Formats: sequence, structure tokens, C-alpha cells
Amino acid sequence: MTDTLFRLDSVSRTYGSGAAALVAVHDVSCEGHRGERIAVVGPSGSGKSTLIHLLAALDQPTAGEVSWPGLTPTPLTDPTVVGVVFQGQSLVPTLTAQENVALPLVLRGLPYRHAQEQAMTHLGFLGLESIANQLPDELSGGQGQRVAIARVLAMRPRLILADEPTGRLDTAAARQVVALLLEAADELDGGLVIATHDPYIAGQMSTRWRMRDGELSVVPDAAIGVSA
Amino acid sequence: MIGVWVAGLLRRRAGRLLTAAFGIAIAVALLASMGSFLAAAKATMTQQATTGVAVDWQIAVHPNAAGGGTASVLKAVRADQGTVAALPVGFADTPGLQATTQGTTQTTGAGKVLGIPPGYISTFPGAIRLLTGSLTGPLVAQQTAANLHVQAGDTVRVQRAGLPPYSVRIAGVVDLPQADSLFQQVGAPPQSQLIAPPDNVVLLPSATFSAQYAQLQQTRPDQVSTQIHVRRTHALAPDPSSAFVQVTQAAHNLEAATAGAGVVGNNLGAVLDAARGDALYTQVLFLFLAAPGAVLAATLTAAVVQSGSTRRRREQSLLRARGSTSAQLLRLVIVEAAVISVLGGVLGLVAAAVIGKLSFGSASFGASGSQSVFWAVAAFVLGIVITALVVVVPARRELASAAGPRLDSTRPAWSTYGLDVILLAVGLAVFWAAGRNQYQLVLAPEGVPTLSVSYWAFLAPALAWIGAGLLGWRLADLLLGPGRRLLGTLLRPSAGSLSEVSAAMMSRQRRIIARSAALVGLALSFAISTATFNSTYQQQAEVDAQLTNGADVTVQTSPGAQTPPAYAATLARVPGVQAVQPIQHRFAYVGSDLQDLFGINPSTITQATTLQDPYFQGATAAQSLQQLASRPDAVLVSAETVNDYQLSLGDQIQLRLQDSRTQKYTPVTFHYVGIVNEFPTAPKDSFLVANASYVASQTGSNAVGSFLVNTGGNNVTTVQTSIQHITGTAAKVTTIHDARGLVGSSLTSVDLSGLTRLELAFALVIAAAAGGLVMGLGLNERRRTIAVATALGATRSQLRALYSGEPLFVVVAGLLSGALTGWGLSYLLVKVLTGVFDPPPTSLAIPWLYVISVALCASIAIAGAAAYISIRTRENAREILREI
Repeated sequence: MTDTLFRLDSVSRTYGSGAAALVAVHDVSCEGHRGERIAVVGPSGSGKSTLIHLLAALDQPTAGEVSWPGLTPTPLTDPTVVGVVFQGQSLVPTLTAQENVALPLVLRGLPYRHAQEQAMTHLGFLGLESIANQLPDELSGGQGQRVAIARVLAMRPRLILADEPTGRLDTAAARQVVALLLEAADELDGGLVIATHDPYIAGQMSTRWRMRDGELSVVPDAAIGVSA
Repeated sequence: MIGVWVAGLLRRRAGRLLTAAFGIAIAVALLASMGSFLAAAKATMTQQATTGVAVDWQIAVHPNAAGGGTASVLKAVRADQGTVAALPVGFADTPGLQATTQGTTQTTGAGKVLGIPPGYISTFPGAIRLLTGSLTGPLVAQQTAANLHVQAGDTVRVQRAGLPPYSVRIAGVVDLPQADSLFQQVGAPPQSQLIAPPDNVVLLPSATFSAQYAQLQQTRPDQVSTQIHVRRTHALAPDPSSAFVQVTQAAHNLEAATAGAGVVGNNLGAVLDAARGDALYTQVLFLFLAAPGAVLAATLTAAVVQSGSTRRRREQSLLRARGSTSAQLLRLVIVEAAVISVLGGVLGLVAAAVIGKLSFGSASFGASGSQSVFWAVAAFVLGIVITALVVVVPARRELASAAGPRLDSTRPAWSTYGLDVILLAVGLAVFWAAGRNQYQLVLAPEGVPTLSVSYWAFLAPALAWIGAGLLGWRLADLLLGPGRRLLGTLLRPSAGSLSEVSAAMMSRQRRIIARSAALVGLALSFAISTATFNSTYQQQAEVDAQLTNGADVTVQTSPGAQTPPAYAATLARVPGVQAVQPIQHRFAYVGSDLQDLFGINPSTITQATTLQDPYFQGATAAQSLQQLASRPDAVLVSAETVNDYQLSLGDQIQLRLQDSRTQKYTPVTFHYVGIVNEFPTAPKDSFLVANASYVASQTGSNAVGSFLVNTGGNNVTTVQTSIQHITGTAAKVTTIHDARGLVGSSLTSVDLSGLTRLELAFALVIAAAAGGLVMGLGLNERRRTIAVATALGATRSQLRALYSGEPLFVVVAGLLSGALTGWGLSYLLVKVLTGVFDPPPTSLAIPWLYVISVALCASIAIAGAAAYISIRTRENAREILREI
């Protein structure tokens, strides 16, 4: 199996048409590999989220091609090969933390009781046993994101995508979440792509891409500075 | 800011606004349509009642009174504003009539002679109906013609008290359709009226009458009198009650104006008196049927509004964060409510106008302009009140407590205090107490202007309905909460391995799901109970028609005609006749009380007619007939007679019957074997049923009073025509169709069928809307959850399994509670509204086709809404996820 998890060839994504057309991603070509930790930085509206959605197959390019050579099946046919952590609340509000983590496992055919046990293991891995029976509305933002990461762990994807996962968290919680994401990526031996404003998070990554007006450029190690 | 908000609402929340407005429109349309029905029904009742009267007033002239004679009374009558036409009619007694035809002479007993003025028949077309011959000249009534064996062209000799008889040549034979009122004793109380109109009647042109009775009037004024027959204007108030008061007051005015010389026999007032009681029943039906519909529509709107509460809270938080005060937020809510109520009100009134046009032929909401305005305004205001209650009040409460509950986890206050059980218990207690006191739902004492309705009786079904609805809610909530494990097991067939997850999700949404199920249950119970009530009413109207006529076709022989039972064989040969049963009709003295006695063959009577259990008391119809057949001298008597004479089963009783050989009433011994309340062709008051063979042997005559003809319900009119052809004028042949007209004229079947269509359509819409909208809007709020599940790899079938539990639960729980509550409510309604039924029903008539249609519509609406949301969500899952 190839180490190249995804590849973008001259990918563009335009919303709308004519004079009102908005180019979110413009002629982007790049690759991500197994073990790679990529930070996508750039100001709001620069196209970071669109890029993440294209990588997760939540969106389709209007030009160019997105492929996932290292992922079988691809996210187009099985969305669970990619784990996505969103900026906002992405847990099912009517399920407890433990049930949320167990849900993808049950969807894969694991009996409910076994899925619950495994979910508890993953929650335990992130130190979340105490909130296992709480509903998402009863959790803090940081706790919610940690449960979402536990759910990604349970799905065991080869590529983790995180779209500003710390955007609504305080510094301490944000750092904890990033540490967990890195830990999860290591545990899964997969790739990690994080879209972020935070220079600290960008500094934790091995590769940094900058998005500006939909165009992507690679940032040298010395030039990490993110303007909002 | 308010303008911006409204524009935003209309642009971005048009669907939700329209949905809430739809709920309000249902309530508004229901009330306005019911107003149309009520007004139309009352106006129809007044019109039907007045149209059926042949002579509106019969004014008896007292020649010796201070007011003067006929001329002055006639002048006063004609001067009265409401008088359209007034003609004097002469009345004279005759000791007997005689005619000789085909070599035999027939003599009758006492009778009446009427002096009919020129133009009478055209002025009062319903009073005299020509059967044979011509109307120009002396006429005889049908029964008199049969008694005397005369026809047009024959001569009848009329006897006079103290004067020699005179002869007249008969020009025609006529029917006097309203003989009862024509021969009433004007001014006499009901108990002093004649039991039956005279059998022997001759009608003379007024000139002939004057010539024959001028002298007698001088010598025997007690033998001759004058009445002034009046046709009144029928331009009366549409409400029978108001019309009754109007007509009664006019009659009193006239009596006062003539200073007692004229006493009014108010036939018009009498029919309006009866109609106003029926009108009140209509009002009662309106309350029973419109009120729950309005409550349901309000609850439905509340559910729609509440399903958007998460969105509203989010918006309010956002506005608060940008500096809006609670007062400003409340103003925005009020604006939203105003938009909903105006939209709903207008939609509802337009819908009601269309419904009114289709159902009652009029797009207005009342019989008069002011009534229309009243109903339109009342319905519109109801819409505003409901919107205020379901939109503004909860929003105000939420604003007061800044942090409302996030998930639907709070326990409703009614549940904590056990309101459901209390309401059910109180409802049943009221029902029991009301039934025990033998209350009358509608009290309309004859002749008294004041009417009363026992509104107390409404309490039982109303409380029971709400109580049962809330109990259904509680049970659903219990199954969804503490009974989650059981729910998971129940969901396994549809959700498979996802049943536990589905049960867990449902249990966290249990308040909204239980409420939806309760709402669907209430809507279905409303639909089922009204449909069952209506179809039971129709069933009983049919039973009543058969009870009144006796059978599909009834052949009533003329009094005095000695028709033997063997004549049944002749009738049985008529094509279309399936069975014929003879019934003897005699009069028998029970003590000093003269009662009708019917002689039947108990073992064969049911071949021609249907006997229901409620016709008898203390035994079923079959048991009663068996008792009658058990001994030749057995007799069934009325409950009143049993009470009056303190009879016990098996008691010997002596009745006096007329012996055909001696023409004298002689004692005949019978044994009392049971109680009969109703019997085909029998009167409403006391009567007796005995074995025909025994009566024949004891009285020396087997003469039959009527033949009941069973046509199997087919070709009734054809059979009637064929039989009438055979019997000629010697017998009166009536059909069940004629009886339906008579029965329907009280609580008119025409109007009730309009009401039935109306309420069933509303029930159907409410049931479907309750299911579909609540589920649809509820699921709409959970689109994100479905999108997340899709992102987690849920396949189409898994999503279906995950979310089918919710609509399935609402359908099953709603159907179960709706069916049970509907059945119970139907029972209560039929019991409480028992006065509407005559005779009371043996069992409820459940319109299965309609019930199944309503259940299917609600289920399809729920499943459709769930499927729509699921499909739309799957299609938009990526967009929804991008918004997270």
C-alpha cells in the first residue's frame, strides 16, 4: 500500500457563478502521507475549511481531481476511512458520550454491548470515563471535542482531518485537544491535517501549508506566523 | 427593526410560519364552518317546520264574546301585519252518515261537516289532497269513502241534530294530511284533545254549508261553529326559538285585539316549538364537535411552535449577545405571533367560506349579515387567542428564565400532579352521576319560551377525552423512559442491531415523541368518536324509520274493512315481496284507559320486520317473542301500565275488547309476560302486544289492521305502486322512505349529513396534520443528527433503522390510544346525547371504512414526513456537516 494518503491535482472549488462567483480554493496541488502532521494556516475565508471538506469528500471540486491512493475504500464510498473533527458540536445530542463513541462501531455491525465496552476503553484512553454517561449538552466545549476525538479513535481511520478543532476552546483546553489529536494519529499510524489559526498548533506539526485567497503555499519552518 | 424582522421571517422562516398559520387556520375554519352549519341548520329547521304546516293559525270564533262575531274577528285578522290570507271555515257535527251503493246501505257513527270557502284549496294547498274525482263540489275523506263504500258521483245522506237529514252528491274523495290539527279543539289543553281525528268527514262548499246549517246554528249553536284559517308570512327569524317567540307573541296580540272573540290555534307556533328543541340539540352537537376540534388545532399549533423552540432560543441568545433586551425580544415574538394569526385567520376564513359553499351552498357564515360578521369575527379572534397562548405565553416564560431546558427533559406539571387520572376519574364520576339522575340534556317544555341545556353533561366526555389523551401521553412517556429496554426489544424487528441505539435516542426525546403520539391519539379519537356517533345516528334514524312505518312497505287497511290474514298471500305474490306479516289492530280498555292492542304471530313476525332488543325491557327481543308464544293468552304491556297496575310477571289481567259479533266491549283474560317499549307501527304511548290467534278467537274477528311487507330493502317504491294498484283506495300503502322524511324532519338528516361531511373532513385533516407536521417538524430539528450519522458511515438502511422507530412509535401508540379513547368516547357521547337517538341504539355503529381511512392517512402522513426529512437530510448531509 502506498504511503500517499491523498493527492490534489490542480483542484479548484468555486461557489456560485458569474459575477457572484466565489473562488474558495484555486488551483491547489498537494499530497499528504502516512505519518505526516500537516497544519493548514491562513486567515478566515482563505479556503482552509473548504480544503478540509474536499479532503474528507464532504465537498466536490469544480476543477481538478482529489484522490486517496493510500485509502481503500476511499471516503467517497466509505466516509469512515477519514475521521473528521469539526469546529462545532458534532456529537449526536440524544446520545451519551459513551453512546456517541460507540455509534460508529454499532454502524459497522458490532453488537451494542461490545461497542459500548470498546467506547469506554477509548474514553478511558483519553481520560473521559467520568463523563461517559453525560449528554453532549452537559459537556464543556473541550470535553465535547475530546469525545469527538475518542469517536475518531474508535473509527480507526487512516487519515484524521480537523477543521479548527480548538476554535472555541480556551488555551489550556486547546493544547490538550491538539496533544490528543497527535496522540491519536500516532496510535492509528495515519496522517493528520489540522486547519487552524493558532501558531502554537501550527508549530506542533511537521508540515505547514498556508492558504491565502484560495491558493496554497508551503511554509518554511522559520516562517510560522499566522495572521487572522 | 420590526420591519426587518418580519421581512426576515417571511424570507427565511416562511415554511415554519405557514405551518403554524395552517394550525391556526384549521381552528378558525372549523369554528367559522361550524357557525355556518349552526346558522344554516337552524334556518333550515325553521323553514322545514313552517313549510310543513298546512294551516298556520286556526282561530276559533266565539260569537258571544264581547269582541263580536266572525266578521269583526276576520277583519282584525286580516288587519294583522303577518297575515297573508284569512278565510272562514264552517264546522258542524253530524250524528252519522249514510250511503246506499250496490244494493247495500252503510251507516257510520258521528262525524264532522266542514264548510269550505272558495279559494281555500289554493290558499292552503297542504290541507286537502284530492285522491279521486274533482274538488268542485262536496267531498268526502278517504276513510269515510271506505266506510260508506262511496266514490265520486255517489250520494251521501248527512244527518243533523234535530233537523231532517240532507243529501249531497260526492264530487271527489280527498285525503286530509293534517287531520289531527284540523280537528283540534282550539284553546283546549293537550290532554283534552281528541285521541284521533274523526273517521267520518264531509266537506261542503261554503254556500251549501250555510244553506244546510244556518238554521241549526240558530237553534243548536253548540253543533255549528266557525274557524278562521290563516296563512301567515313565513318571513320569520331564522332561529326556531326566536321564530317561536315571534309567532306566539303575534297570536297573543291578536287574541288581545279581538278581546277574546278569537282564540288562536297556533299550528305554526306548535311546529316551531318542536323545532327549537331540535335546534338546541344542534347547538349541543356543535359544542361537542367544534370545541374538541378547536382544542386539537390549538394543540397542533402549539406543537408546531414548540418544535421550533430550539431555533428560537438560538436566535434569542444571538440577539441578547448583541444587546437586545427581553422587552425587545418579546416584541419580536409578538410580531411573529401577529403574522401567524393574521395569516391563519385569513386562510381559515377563506377555507370556511369554500367549505360553507360546498357543504351548505353559502359562502357566508350565518343566516344574516350580522350573524356572518359575528362568526367571522369570533373565529378570527379565536385564532388570535390561540396564537397568543401557544406562541407568546411560552416565549415570555422562556425569556423570563434565561436558560431554558436544552433537551426536552422537564416533566410536565400535569404529570407530577396526576391530572390525567384525576380528569378521567372526575369525568367518569360526572357521567355516572348524570346517568343516575336521568337528566334531560335538552329541556324544552311545550309552550314555554325558555329552553335549557344541561351543559353539566358535557363535562363527562370533555374531561374523559382530555384525561385519556394525557394518560396516553403518560404511558408513552413511561415506555420511552423507564421502559427503554422493552422499547429496544420491541424495535428489534424494524431496527435490528441498531434497536438499542434507536431506543436510547428516542428515550432522550421522549417528551416530544410522547406528546406527538398523544396528539395523534387525540386527533384519531376525535375522528373515530365523531364518525361513530354520526354513523350510530344514521343507523338509529333507519331503525326509527322502520319502527315508524313498520316495515319496508306497510299496507294499512281502512277501519271497518274486515280484511282477513289470508290476504297476505295475495300481497306475497306481488313481485319483489319477500315476506308479508299481518298485524291486528284493536283497542282495548285497561281499566279506564283505552290502549292500542296489536295481535301478531310471534313465531313469524320477524320475517317482515326487525325487532331490536331495546324495544323490550327485561328481556331480549327473541326472549320476549318466545314468552309471548309460550301461552295463547300471553300479553306484552308497556312499562307505564306495569307501574300503574303494579303488575308482576305471570299476573292475570282483564282487558275489555270489542266483540265483533255483539259490537260490545267484553272482558278477555290475558297473562302478563313481559314489557314492550316500542313496536313497529305502534304509538309512542302505552300499547299492548298479544297473540293474533287468541285475540281472533276471543273477539270473533280475525280482521287485520295492517300488513308488514318485507322487500329486502329493494324496489320499495315499485312494490308500493304494485300493492296500491291492487288495493285501490281501500288501503293506505306507505314505505320506509315516507317515514325517513318524517323522522328526518326533526333533527334534519339533511343538515346532519352536511355536518358529518364537515367534521369528518376536519378530523381527517387534523389527524393527518397532527401526525405529519409534528413528526416532520420534529425530525427537521434533528437533521444534523442524521447528517452526523451519515458522516459516521450509516448506510441508507441503517439510517432508516435508526429513525424508523420514532414514526413507528408515534403511529402505533397514536393508533392504540386513539382507538381505545375513540371507542370509549363514542360510548360516552352516545349515552350523553341519548336524547338525539330514538330508539336508543343497541350497539355502536363503527364506520370501519372511515376509521381505517383516517388511521391510514395519519400513518401515511407520519411515514411521509419521516421519509421526506430522511431523504432531504441525506441529500444535504455534506452541506449540513459543513455548517458544523
